[in-house]
Amino acid sequence: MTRDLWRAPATIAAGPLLIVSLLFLSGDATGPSFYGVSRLAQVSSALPIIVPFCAGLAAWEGARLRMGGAFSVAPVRSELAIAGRALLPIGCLALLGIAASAAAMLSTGPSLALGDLRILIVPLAAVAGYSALAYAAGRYLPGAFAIPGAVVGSWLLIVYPVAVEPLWIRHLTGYLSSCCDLSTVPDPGAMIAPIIVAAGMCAAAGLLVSPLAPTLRIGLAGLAVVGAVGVATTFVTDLGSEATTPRNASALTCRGDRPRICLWPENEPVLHTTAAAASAIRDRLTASGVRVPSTVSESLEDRGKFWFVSLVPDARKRDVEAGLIMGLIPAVPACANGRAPYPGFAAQAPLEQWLAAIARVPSGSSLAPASRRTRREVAAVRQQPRAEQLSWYRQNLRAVSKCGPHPRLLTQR
Amino acid sequence: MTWWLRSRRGPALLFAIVAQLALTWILGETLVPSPSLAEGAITRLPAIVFLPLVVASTIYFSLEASGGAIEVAGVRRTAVMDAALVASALATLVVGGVVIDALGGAFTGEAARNTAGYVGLGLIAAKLLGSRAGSVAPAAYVVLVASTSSRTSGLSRLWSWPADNPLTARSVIVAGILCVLGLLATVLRDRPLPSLARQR
Repeated sequence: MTRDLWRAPATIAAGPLLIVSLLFLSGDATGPSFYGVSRLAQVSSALPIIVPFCAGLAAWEGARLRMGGAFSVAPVRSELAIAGRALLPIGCLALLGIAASAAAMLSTGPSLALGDLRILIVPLAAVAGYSALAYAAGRYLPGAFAIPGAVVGSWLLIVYPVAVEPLWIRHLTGYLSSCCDLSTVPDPGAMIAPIIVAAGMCAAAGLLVSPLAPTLRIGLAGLAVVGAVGVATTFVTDLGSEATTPRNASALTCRGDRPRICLWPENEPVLHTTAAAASAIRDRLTASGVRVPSTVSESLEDRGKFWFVSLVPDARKRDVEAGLIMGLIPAVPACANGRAPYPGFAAQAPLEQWLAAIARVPSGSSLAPASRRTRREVAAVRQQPRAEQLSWYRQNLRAVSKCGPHPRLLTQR
Repeated sequence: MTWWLRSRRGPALLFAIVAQLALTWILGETLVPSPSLAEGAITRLPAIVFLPLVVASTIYFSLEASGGAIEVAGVRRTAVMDAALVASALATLVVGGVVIDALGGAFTGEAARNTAGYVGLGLIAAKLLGSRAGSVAPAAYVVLVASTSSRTSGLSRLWSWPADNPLTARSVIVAGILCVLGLLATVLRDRPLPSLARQR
């Protein structure tokens, strides 16, 4: 058995697979390097390499056994036992590929909890599903078709859904590369769905190599895949292009009072900078009559109730100031991502610049540079009496937070 | 001759040629959106990067029956006949492509170029790495090219010749060289590699 493992094509392919997948990860991985959840989700960026590799090898093994006449002589072991033995080296290769990819991703030293490692079940399940089905294809089809079909077919099934609509289709493949920024974690539905699809594929492969009548096993295998995709779909239809959900606010580290600063543990290095900047900005805005929440929080769950801010551990003072100003503008409402008109968008930049001017945040901050129109609008507002300015602020704040209302801009565009 | 042709699965090869020509006609202008891992963005690859695998795989399927001890000991050089079969399949594809072009089809030249290149690549891999590698090499190469091509930035690289669209002289030369080397590898199939010959 050990000898089989050393001489298996999967063992020979291990070196090239590791080199290619790590090369791809180094070029394609995105997201914050200090956030373990995001780094582990990025492991799925290697799936377009690992899955075709393993699926091709599995089809190879199926075709090799078929060509060798393993299934046309009196059976000593069951087909499942033969398949298990043939697929074992490929399983080891998949484990090695995923583990090496995870190690490469975690080499940046991000924050990590043991439970976060469960994200790796998704790519492992995807490799298992495609490989099992590819083995069954190699078992019945000529190798000349089964192997290239498994390689190109699995690659297309992994990457192509990213480019088609409805957007949730992409979450069936296990390709989690859009996950996550510091305030989000992978959506549970997007993790369960690809595992269900992979389980359906494994069940289909098991049925295909079972001793059932040919028509029955093909029918049942098709049913297993279609049924699994159908069930998996129910977990992801609510999702958009990104399969993320807000991170649990209980993970926040909170310090101080008025303003109370609640940041993710990864952002502890900027806690003092944030506290100082938030205090100064809050004092100036409150003095001008602008109501500012007394708690700064990075949690998306709390957005709307608290003063939202999104930071990185190496943020400079001007980045923190810009983040705090932007956090005072309500998030773009979900309806704006659909077809509903969102006239409030025009008020976003003037609001930002007006708040920055009132809070005396220097123009060198990391806020997006103001256009000439925005500067003209803010200058016109600043010339108004304070009550008028506050009325302009409240009205535009309402326009920004909903899809219907029109903003009130003094310099009409 | 009849037995040779029958063992080479002539009807399957003919069917694959017709199927690929039809698919090129129907899907030739389709662009397949795929994420380029090299760019970290979605790029659009012409379907003719993938379609030629139909004929390339079938040619390998046809040649799978070759190389037996009987053929090596035989009077006829079946290796030369196999190379001729591959060349005629490619020629048929080119002629079919010209006809489809005349009827208003597109990308037939690119499809023929890619088929020739993939077939050559498979035949070289079969000679160097063993028979089954011939069916893997073109598919693996297609996946690598599709994952790394830089279509959006307009850059074309020597190794991404299957994605060059429209036909460039460089891509045709690369595919042509691969095809010729593959045919040579087929002709010399029953002769051992120089290193193996020395060992004997």
